[in-house]
Amino acid sequence: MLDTSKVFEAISISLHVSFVSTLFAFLLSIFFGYLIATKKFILKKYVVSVLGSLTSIPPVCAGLIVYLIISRSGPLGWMELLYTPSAMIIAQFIIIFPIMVTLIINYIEREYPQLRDELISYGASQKDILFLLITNQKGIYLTTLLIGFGRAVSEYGAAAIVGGSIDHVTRNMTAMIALETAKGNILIGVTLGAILISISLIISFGINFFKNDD
Amino acid sequence: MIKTKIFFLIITLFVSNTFAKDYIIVQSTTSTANTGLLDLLSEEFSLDTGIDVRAVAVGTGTAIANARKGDGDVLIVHSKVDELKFVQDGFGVERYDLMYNDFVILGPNNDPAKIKDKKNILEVMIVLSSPDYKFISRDDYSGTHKKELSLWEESGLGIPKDSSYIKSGSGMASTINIANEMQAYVLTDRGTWIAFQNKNNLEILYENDKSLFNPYGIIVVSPKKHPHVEYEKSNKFVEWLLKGRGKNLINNYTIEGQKLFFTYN
Amino acid sequence: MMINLKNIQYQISQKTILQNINLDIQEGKTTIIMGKNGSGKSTLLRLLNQIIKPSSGFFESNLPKPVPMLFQKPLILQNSVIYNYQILKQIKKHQINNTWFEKFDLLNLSNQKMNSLSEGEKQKIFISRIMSFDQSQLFLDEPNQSLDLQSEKLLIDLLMKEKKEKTIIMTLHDFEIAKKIGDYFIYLENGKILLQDNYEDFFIKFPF
Repeated sequence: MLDTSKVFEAISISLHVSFVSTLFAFLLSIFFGYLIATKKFILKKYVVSVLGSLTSIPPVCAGLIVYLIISRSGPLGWMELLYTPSAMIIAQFIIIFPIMVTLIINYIEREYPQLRDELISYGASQKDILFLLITNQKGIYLTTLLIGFGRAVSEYGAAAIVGGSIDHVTRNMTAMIALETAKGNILIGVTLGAILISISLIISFGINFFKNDD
Repeated sequence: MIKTKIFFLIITLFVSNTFAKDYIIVQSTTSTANTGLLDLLSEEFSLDTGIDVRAVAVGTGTAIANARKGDGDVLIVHSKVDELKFVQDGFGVERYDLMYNDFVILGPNNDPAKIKDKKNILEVMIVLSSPDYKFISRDDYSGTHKKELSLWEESGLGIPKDSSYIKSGSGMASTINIANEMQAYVLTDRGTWIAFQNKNNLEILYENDKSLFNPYGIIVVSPKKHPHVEYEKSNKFVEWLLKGRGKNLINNYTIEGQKLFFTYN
Repeated sequence: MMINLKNIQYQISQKTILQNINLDIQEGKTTIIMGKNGSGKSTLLRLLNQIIKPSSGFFESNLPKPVPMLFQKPLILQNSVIYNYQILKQIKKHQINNTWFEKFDLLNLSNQKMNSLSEGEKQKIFISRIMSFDQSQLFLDEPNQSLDLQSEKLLIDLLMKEKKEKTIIMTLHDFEIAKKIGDYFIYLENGKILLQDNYEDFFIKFPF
């Protein structure tokens, strides 16, 4: 029948990997988002465009890129990252970082000019402005986190390629759905699929809930 | 403050990996995974020795390519010709016979090509080459695919060129699914079929032919080519499989009372 | 003379917002900038307060740096009314004058969230926020927007009291209000000054 311990294991791996990748991507999104949105530099338009186009990078492409880098024959092969959860985290990071940073950049470009002008007239320092910018609208951060996490936890292809779908170690929900369905074990596939959809639903509700709170 | 926190987070990401590995990486064919045998052997070996086995089931062709690049410590595939070449080229230390079963031909219950009555596999291939009957090929350089190709060659006809020959480019189980949907014929290892849970409208129509013998080999990747290989741990694994409790586990592995793999004695 | 502009031009993203601007802002007087929407009033006000720099031309001001200004879309922080009101105090860290806050009867709104207020109530808070600083120069961009008649009247009365000792520069749409409090008037059209003059002469010359 249904092996629940297997299912829980897959869920736990998915959550662990996707939580970490989302957190990393989030922190770096704020850091780079602020820099890119507020500073003028020569290649600014190109950077923003490239980031925008990377938001729809196919997961398998992200997986392939990471694979080429961390495989033994690649430049970072010595780090022994292939077939580990860390590799999955990196691959998912590549998928979700572009969209998260783009969201942050858009938010800052929307909010920053007015905020900056008025705070400058008040005599605020750059630090004050930064502080208010970051702490003012918490809704955008929640939205960004949820969007990133949703993407990360439901992707198939990136984590599978670099993780190897190894039992107990890197076989996350999507990898298990693929494997069990191919085995003909439809029950597990459907169960995990339902759980994934539920997670997506919760995230979707979360995003809309916090959007209206602005 | 934030910068140092991030720095340490990144470090913890990698810490678990930069010390000596206490696991071995096995590059394997998919039939050992689809049957659940690979997972079982990995778990039991780990229980017995404390050495973890990270088995990646990617298909024979990919497994061999990965092992050549050094992305694995042990190779378990079923394509003897390629296995011997692997050793000959210096990438493997030695090839051992691990276990065997056989290939079978699956097809729709009503067997439109009437291969059930055929006396040898080459006759079957000749019949199936006809555009009237669909045949699904793995087309992924797996052990099964290479077996299929060699059968077409032996039959003298080569690969069918018409649209009734369909290339799935995917693993055994997915390919069986496609054969099921299209009511087509397909070559598979017996193990995957026994373990397959969605048997629907296909059944074994041709089997027990000497030419359909399916031997699996196991090779440790050579530390001469790839110094990082976990040589000792890998050899322990091979020994455990060939002479230790692993051998018993393989022999006693059944699904619904049927044995999937046989060991050599 | 307090702020002097000669031949000022302001461009952004290849669009010319202001051109050929020549004017003097007198200390102690109330200057009103008028014009249709999009004529460049807000931009001129920001330029006068040194929030933005002109693209070309001569600019001179007695003020060393920008002073707190009432913008057309003032800053709203996701927080309570009292937090938004005291934001200036947080940044500038000295005492604030709550007269206007009280006059507009805003005390009972202190703990409410900003986004639960009506536009008129918000505007009163923004005005009180700016006025809490007791500064000698007031830069106000459409201070009466969203206000109901009663609040608007109160605003004008309060400004009339302030204008005796202060320099006020503001943008307005309403001619009637402008006549009440203004000393000097500037009319902008498409980024150029169409007419500027004192009270006596402006409304005679103005082709209304």
